Amino acid sequence: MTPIASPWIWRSSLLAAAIAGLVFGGASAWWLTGREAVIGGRIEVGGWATSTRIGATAADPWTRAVIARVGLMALNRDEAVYYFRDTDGDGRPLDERCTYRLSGVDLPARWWSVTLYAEDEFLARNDDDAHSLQGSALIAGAEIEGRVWRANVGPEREGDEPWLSTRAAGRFKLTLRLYHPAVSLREDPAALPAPTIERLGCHGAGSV
Amino acid sequence: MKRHGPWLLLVFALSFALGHVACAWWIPRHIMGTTLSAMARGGERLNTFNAGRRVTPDSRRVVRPSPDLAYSACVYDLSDAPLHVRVPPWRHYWSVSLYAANSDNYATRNDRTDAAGTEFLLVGQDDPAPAVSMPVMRSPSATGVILIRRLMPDAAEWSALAPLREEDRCESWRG
Repeated sequence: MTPIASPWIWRSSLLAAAIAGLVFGGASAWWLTGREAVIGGRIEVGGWATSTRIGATAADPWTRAVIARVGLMALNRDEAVYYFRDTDGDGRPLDERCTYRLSGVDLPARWWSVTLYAEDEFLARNDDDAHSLQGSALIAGAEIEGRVWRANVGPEREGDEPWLSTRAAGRFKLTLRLYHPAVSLREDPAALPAPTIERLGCHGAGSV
Repeated sequence: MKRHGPWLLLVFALSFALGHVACAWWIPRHIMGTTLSAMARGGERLNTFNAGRRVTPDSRRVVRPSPDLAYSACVYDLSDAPLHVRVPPWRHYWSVSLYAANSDNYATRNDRTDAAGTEFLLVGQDDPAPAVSMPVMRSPSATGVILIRRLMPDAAEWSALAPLREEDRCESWRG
């Protein structure tokens, strides 16, 4: 008789396999739901990502878990549509040491805003009071021709341009909120006239 | 050993799948549970609206809060009685959103659906609904949260908001 054939060792081995399976299975779910790419119904447009299942009662368990971790109490898309991004127009991670030009046109919703969040999913710990910009203010200052609005995203305010401060934000993220979106956007979130974000330069980030 | 290897692998695989699905199911309920407990201060502020302060970098209870909105939250428990909710209108965008214990946003009222403000009775999924003249809404879970969002175009609006919030009602319905 081999040692594994001993009933005691056999039962212990089964128990160890079951415990290891539960632990690794739970850990894999935790790891997986920390990634926004897991969100079901994911749609990407111009570097911004959204999902038709955010806040929905029909969300799958993984989507529900991801949203609980990165956007608890989000609204379903009848009320609001959210878009997220954590990279610039060239696909590089957004970095607090860099300066960016965020620009776009008016968005098809009753009101909208763009908000900057730090790596930890909360407002960056700085006292600049420049965490979010509302669409109405951006449009009011937009160029008449083409109605293109522009905002500066970086560690320091530059001129009179609307500003989102990146101080203490680390590898930050941007969230677009569109409340009471146009029916066309609600039905097809890929129809967003997506704002662009272009990296202008960096201080101490190793490259420009 | 060879004889037992496949069985051990099978037990591991089944346990892995069970642990994975159970954890994914548990995460939103756990996060909602701890968040609602903190919001209700461990039960002291249950079935009543708590008016949130202006969102700042120190606002760390719920991820990705919007600094453009004023939030008020009523953590509810329908075990003993239905809930009577009344919210007056605000001059800018406002909404009243209902969330179940698993974090689903199962209903929303707003200034388009209820221009003059909203009033409703919230009852449990299988509880009898009292005969009332106001709309009756059903919660998929006995516990959850009602969240008011009011748009604040600028900081000066906060002074106008204070008296309005006094009129918010979220209280057990005793008939």
